[in-house]
Amino acid sequence: MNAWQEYRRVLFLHIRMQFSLSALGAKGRKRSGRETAKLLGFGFLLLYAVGAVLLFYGLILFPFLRGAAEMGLQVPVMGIVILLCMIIVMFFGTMSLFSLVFGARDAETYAALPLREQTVFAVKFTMTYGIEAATTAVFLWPAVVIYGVVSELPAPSFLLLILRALPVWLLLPAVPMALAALLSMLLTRLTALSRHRDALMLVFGMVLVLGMTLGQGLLSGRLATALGDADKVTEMLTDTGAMLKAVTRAFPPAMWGAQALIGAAAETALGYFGLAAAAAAGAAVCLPLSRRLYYKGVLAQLEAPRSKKKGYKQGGVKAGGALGAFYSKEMRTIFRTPVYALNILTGIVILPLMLAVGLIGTGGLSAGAGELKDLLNSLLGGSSGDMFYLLAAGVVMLTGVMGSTGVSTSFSREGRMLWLSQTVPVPARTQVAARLLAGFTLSLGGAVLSLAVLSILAGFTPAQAVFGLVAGSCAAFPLLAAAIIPDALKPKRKWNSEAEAMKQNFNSILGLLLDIGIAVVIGFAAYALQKLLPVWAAAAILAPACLGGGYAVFCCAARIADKMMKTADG
Amino acid sequence: MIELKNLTKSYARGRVKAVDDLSLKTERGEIFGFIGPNGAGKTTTIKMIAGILAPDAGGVSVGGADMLAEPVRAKKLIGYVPDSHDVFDRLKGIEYLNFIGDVYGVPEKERRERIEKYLAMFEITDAAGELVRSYSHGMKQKLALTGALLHKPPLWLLDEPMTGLDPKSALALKEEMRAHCREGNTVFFSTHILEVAERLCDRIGIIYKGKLAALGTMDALRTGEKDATLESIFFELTETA
Repeated sequence: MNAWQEYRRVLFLHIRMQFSLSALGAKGRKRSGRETAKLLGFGFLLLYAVGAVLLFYGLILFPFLRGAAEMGLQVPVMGIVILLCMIIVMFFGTMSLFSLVFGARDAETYAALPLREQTVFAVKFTMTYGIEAATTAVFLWPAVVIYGVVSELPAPSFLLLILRALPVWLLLPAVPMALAALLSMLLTRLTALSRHRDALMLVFGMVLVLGMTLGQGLLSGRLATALGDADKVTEMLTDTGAMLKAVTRAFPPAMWGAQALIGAAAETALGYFGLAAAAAAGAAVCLPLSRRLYYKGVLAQLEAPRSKKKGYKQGGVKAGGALGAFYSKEMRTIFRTPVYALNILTGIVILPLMLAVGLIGTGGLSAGAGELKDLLNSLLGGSSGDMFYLLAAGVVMLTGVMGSTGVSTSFSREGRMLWLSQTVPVPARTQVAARLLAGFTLSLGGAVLSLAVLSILAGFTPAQAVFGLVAGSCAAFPLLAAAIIPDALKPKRKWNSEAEAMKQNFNSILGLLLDIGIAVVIGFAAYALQKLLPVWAAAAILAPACLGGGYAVFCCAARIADKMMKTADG
Repeated sequence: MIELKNLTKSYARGRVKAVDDLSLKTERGEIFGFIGPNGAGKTTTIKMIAGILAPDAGGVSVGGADMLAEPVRAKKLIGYVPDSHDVFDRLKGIEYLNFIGDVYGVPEKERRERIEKYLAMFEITDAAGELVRSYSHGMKQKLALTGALLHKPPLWLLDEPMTGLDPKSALALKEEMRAHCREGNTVFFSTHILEVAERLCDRIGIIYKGKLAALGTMDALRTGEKDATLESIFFELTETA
């Protein structure tokens, strides 16, 4: 079997497994009315989730692109969109590669088979590429369609635009994915040399998040600086190519993508050539390297190094309660699994981090807290301090939304180990409470960090921060309790890598959507009450309502979990 | 100790009957061996006893507690070990045992004594401070067995407990099963090793295609031939049924 045949066979096998195609085509398989209803419901939820994201994104993008079209700046704006797509792909691609390619549990099985090392790597890379192409589609296609609409393109030109966008969409993830693969391969190989590889992976992952956020902050800073220079603005307005170059100078493939999509004929050819050549170069570097590094890195991740110490500490045997036992188990599992820790901490820490790095990147730090507070005052409509109280509470509530992944995949993460939760004499209610408590602890950490950033950089007073922490925590309770419901209903129990349990888990999206819905309701109620009453009075009404509502949602989640644990079979 | 009444469980919306109208009782102080070919319904039955699966029909009661009506009370009486070797692998061995001790409410003093005893018995004391993911299959099985014994359960429910154990640990386990029963407790276990079942069990149940094909002591199972082994009885039942 030659390399290509081998690649195709393993790829098809992977696709069949990933999408359970064999089960779909099984003979004699008839769905009951209930199963069909469930499937339709699931399809509807999926459409709703994708639709909500597209609508939200489209609403932001439309006025932006319309304004750009009026000024004749579509090309640089599309360049920014493509650059953002590539940054997103590089960020999520690295995370996916870390977990799906380098954390795959089936690596040992493949390593024992007479398959080429680079074939296995290429197949796993292709699968991840498919996921990232889907992510790119969510961000690129709305931009392409909106661009066509705001540019008032006639039908044939619109069709041509779509046709031009197709190869761009398919080639766009190539360069960031190749870079992500290189980075992942080197990091996994490096971490394999250490006994503390899980901790190192976590640290490297967080550094990566920080680096990308800093890069994005610096990019914004560069654009802001350029826009502050009158000569440069004139140059950019008279020559859109100059602005595109200014925006995409840090990453030329983004420029090629924009040129291929909406440039003149010669630029388009150059753009396609640039993208294709970069993709080919990426493959030419990654594939030979994978032959040397892939198994070494991936198999090392599956090993758990032994410590030199023998036995356990005498103080290691300690008695506690069932709630504490589940809580500790949850926290330990999260912090000892790089994929879980990265995903949850990224969600929680990214908000204060982006706030801080964004301010540092754009020089906001040098402006001082006073100026920033003035800016916030004017943005929030007036000098009333009440809005700062609400803003602080909102930030805490938002960290609850961002940290919901920790809760919304809690049962799924146990996977095949769920038998233990099912057989121990601990009511589902206690187990759900422990999981929520763990999620709340993590969110609280992010909330405190966010408030600290706001206090230092935006001059929030201690009273505002404390108010935000208390009121925001009350508001976060129903959010976290709601986030666990989809997972309590149907946890994802079979997965091949920890990333599948968390990132490729529809329960996390459903939990997030539920949270966004509840957060909008609470936010609207808080805003309306604050217009009628002093902020303290509004909080005195809303906080008990949130706690009461949260308790009702928690009871509902506990009942659902109880039912699930009596029937779920691995 | 265990009472199964007309226990029925189907998969694939009733097309495959994994357990079909199964009824049996086990007594205190007995070792009950549950044997049968692959796919006969052993694990499904054990999962229903453990409270992992709800039966489609019939009932399970453990020590007088109905598993569906009073699951927490029933589960307190059971120490369960699955056939999968799946244990929380991001915990250290000692953390796992503490977790089990906490959820079953084992006081610290007894916990310390039992942990020391069973870890030494299974020779995994040195590994107790390591993450479970660094354990071999056999070590995970030993840890799961230790966890299942930690609260001195009146019912020890074991699914293929000998799998992955080295001969010394297998012998220790068999002795522990015997000792556990001598204290008035019950051991219910499934196995494919017929010699173990024959030598160890007070009573044996043979399940085939979800139904109980035979039940009784070894002597009772040898109805015709005095010298019949469990192996010959097993093959006769499962090939002629």
